Amino acid sequence: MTEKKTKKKNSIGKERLIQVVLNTILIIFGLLFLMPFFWAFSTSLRLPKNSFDLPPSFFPTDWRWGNYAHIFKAFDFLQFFKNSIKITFVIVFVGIFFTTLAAFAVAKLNFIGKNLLFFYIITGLMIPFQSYAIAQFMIMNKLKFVNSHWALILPYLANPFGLFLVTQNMRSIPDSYVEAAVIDGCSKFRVYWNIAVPMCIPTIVVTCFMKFIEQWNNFFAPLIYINSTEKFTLTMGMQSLKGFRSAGSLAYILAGVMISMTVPTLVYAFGQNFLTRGISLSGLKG
Amino acid sequence: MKKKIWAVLLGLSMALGLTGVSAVAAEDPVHIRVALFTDGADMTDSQKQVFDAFKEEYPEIEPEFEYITSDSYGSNWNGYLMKIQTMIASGNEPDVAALGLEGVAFLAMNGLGLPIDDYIAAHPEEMEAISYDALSTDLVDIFRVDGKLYGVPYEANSVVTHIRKDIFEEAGIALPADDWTWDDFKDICAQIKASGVDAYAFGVPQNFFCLQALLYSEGGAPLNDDWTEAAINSEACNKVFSFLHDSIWVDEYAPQPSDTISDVELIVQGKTAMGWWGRWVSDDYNSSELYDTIYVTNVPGGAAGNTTCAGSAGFVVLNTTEHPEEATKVALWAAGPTYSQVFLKTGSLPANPTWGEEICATDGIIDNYQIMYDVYNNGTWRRSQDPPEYADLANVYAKYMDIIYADQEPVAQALDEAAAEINQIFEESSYRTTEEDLAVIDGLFKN
Amino acid sequence: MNTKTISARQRKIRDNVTGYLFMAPTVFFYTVFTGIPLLMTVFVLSFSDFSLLKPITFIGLKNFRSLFTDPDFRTVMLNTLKFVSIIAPVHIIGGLVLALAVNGVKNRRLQGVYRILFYFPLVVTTSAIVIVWGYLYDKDFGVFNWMITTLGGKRVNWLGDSRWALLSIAIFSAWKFIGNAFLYYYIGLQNIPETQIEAARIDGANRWQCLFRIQIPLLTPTIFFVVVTTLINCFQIFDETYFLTKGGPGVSSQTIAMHIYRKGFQEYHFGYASTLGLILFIIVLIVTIIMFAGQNKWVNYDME
Repeated sequence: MTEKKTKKKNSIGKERLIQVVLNTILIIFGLLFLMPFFWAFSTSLRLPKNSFDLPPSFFPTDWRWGNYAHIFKAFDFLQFFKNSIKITFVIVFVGIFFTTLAAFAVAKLNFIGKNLLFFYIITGLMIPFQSYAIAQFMIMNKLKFVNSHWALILPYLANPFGLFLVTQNMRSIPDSYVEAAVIDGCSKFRVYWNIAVPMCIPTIVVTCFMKFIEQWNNFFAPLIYINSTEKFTLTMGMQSLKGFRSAGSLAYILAGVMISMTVPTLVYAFGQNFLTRGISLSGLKG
Repeated sequence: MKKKIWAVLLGLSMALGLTGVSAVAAEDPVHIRVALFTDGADMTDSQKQVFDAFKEEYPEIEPEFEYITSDSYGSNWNGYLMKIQTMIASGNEPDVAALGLEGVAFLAMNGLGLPIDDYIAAHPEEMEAISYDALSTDLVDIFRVDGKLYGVPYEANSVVTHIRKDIFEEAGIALPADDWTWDDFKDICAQIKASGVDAYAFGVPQNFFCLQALLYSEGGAPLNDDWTEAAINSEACNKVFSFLHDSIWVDEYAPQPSDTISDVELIVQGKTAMGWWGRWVSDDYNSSELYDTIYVTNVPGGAAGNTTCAGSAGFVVLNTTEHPEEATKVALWAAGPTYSQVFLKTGSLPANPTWGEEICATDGIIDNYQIMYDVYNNGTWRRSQDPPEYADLANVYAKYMDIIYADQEPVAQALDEAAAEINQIFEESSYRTTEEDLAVIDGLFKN
Repeated sequence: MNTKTISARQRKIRDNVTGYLFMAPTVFFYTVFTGIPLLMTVFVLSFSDFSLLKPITFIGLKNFRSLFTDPDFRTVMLNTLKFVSIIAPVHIIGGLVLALAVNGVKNRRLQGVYRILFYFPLVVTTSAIVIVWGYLYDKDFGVFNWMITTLGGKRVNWLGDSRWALLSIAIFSAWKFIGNAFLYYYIGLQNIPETQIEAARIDGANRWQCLFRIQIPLLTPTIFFVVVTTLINCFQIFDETYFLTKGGPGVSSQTIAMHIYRKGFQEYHFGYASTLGLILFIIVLIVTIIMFAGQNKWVNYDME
């Protein structure tokens, strides 16, 4: 009896030790993960001509918020922001509508060639964009969408990965729900809108979130399609901020970097709660 | 006011005499789209100033500026010309495009440019307004392809040595004479290193245009004189590249350049004391409020004396324009004083010294700026060698500069490989298949 | 009887039409901007010579012969393979280790903090944060080398040396994108019923036995998913190399995706760039097929 107790006590002690070690390692690792942000933030507040000075600071020693104001004055930063927000949100909201429609059809409707169509779209997961970028460019050129935000929006309204996630989730809705609604005289669209969509909200939010991240970071497409400065997205704007005029003003550049992170951080703060739930529901689990 | 009345009268008489269409045209100005290369900075104010000045003279024309920014992979202008091509190919082309010297042959040989010789002959008063005669004829000839003129230069950058006076002072070194040599240069490097100041002696050029200046001073060049074959593996070129390589890896006069921190950034931050650029970096000096700190002088003299690299840029009218007359008017006007005074207050060197010297004198950024014009007056410059295959070449140069600077291969081997790649490009080029094409390349301005 | 069959058939037709209408927007945009361009690349453009200013002319296999005379093609292919073999394992294994570690934390609140933290770099704008990393990596003025020299070490030429460039990019890539694999694994682990592990523990299995007999086998579908998506993504790596090294020094970190950009959008050789695109597509296709063909051997879908 006593032997058993001490054994248990030992294992509790061991468990506690493991937890302490694990947490210490994770906290150190986490701080390393955050280090670039600390450095960028504190350097963005330095006097521009001191930005290369070593030792580097990881906590602000100077509080020159003027660097942030300067970015908006010297650069059409606000315009880049607006463009990125516009493009990303159109893709996310219009795209999710199309995606859920298709997912509902695959999961809950019967028609000839359904699985073939589903497979056809899903192959998009494994086709690298660069492999057909030239051809897409030629098409955009014919459609006169080069140097237009349409070139950055239209191709992404079809979302193979999102279709996959949402379809998985919609398949888990019992068929009886759908049948009952149809018997009650609901149209298919009403079933989709009133039953299927509300039941899949976490997965839908996750799909939107992932699309947002992907498109907010999209660099290659604007790089080849956008010519005029006023149509730049933030990803392009950041690179021209770095590459050209602002040589020697690292503090300004980093102020721009910090500002550029605000929108995705806000979206993340909102979306992160849904992340685990949404992905689990889509069946992408163990 | 007077002009307005005149315009109304003109419109009225035309309406009475001919058709109503012309009257509408007088009210509704002709829109001319002008594509410009920029670095993304906000231009709203400058643009308004220029427009107002232009419309005062020509109320019937409305220029629209379109700022094109490209990535800096290879060279900025390279990507810019690609963007212009996409605009042309998609039927969304500008009427006028600012073009650096590397794009002229390419544009003309693809049949995209509109020659302006006839217009010039017909409008001597406009040429006088932009002091055409004061321009160096060589700089103008860069824009002549197959005997036809495609633009009048508004900016022309000669590469000179930029020196941080404060670092020289701190290290107790006197500023060099304008006719200094590479030996003087090396002495100064050694002195800076020995003085213990917290800066490298110089930054190696990251831009091939600037590097060419060093090659020219030693009597080398990337291509042979006819631009038909690579010459980058010549002894003179090898000497320059070896010097740059050793400065990084043996003598530690210069840091290894990186994609993150540019050579310009280094001198702005006071981490290097010297480097080679044209006046365009004055933009960076200005935005970092670096006044009266930079002194410029010739490229150090080598086997070919203080010969440097230079080139011009001009506004070229595209032959797809619907309003060739008005577009040409805009293109030429932009080579005049107003445009320079507004857009080149800092930045590139105005091609025309008539007002260029005054602009340089008032900005208070670069000391001894006259040397940049002396290069043209003395003829101690050679143009950057840009055949129509310039885009392919730019990537070859960038690749092998990088390899040499990073100590990846012995200099001689890297230059031999570069030469082989350049020759292969010429061999496979679609611009050298017919006798006519070859004659056009042969006829390009070379000095 | 007769009317009944007609109405059944009509209903069937109507069902079909409804289905197609629901699918239509996705199929349309996918076909116009992905399907058709891909078919164009595979069957037409790869065998043609053209650019923006030159019309499409059929030139047979000339572009494929150019692959052998292109001085950079071999290097670029090797680089791509090297990238995949360095970066993919970092994501696949590193993500798993991280997920296991976070999953092992008993304190729920701390667990939540770690989860948010390790995913966070994925969220921030790549082209912005990479600027920060460029400065951290700088040989002379960077933070990493400042740390190393302060600790008495020698400067590392992170981005300016072909021996280091790949690794430096891999470190950045791990920092930026490991959250993706991590999150999938973490969710997979969370969905393994606690009771199953507890039962094993009571049967006397130790921590490691639990890991290798219960958790990992149950996680194989997630692992499979992560492996496939990571491999596909690694083959098309562009942003990281473009931003950090521009493919340098020389072409020592240039990948196939960058080469396509360079040949197509920098040097105007659209035909040849399409051929490179076809090569990239074929490689990814083969890798995917191999992955799916092999999945029966190790992926365990029954134990769910």
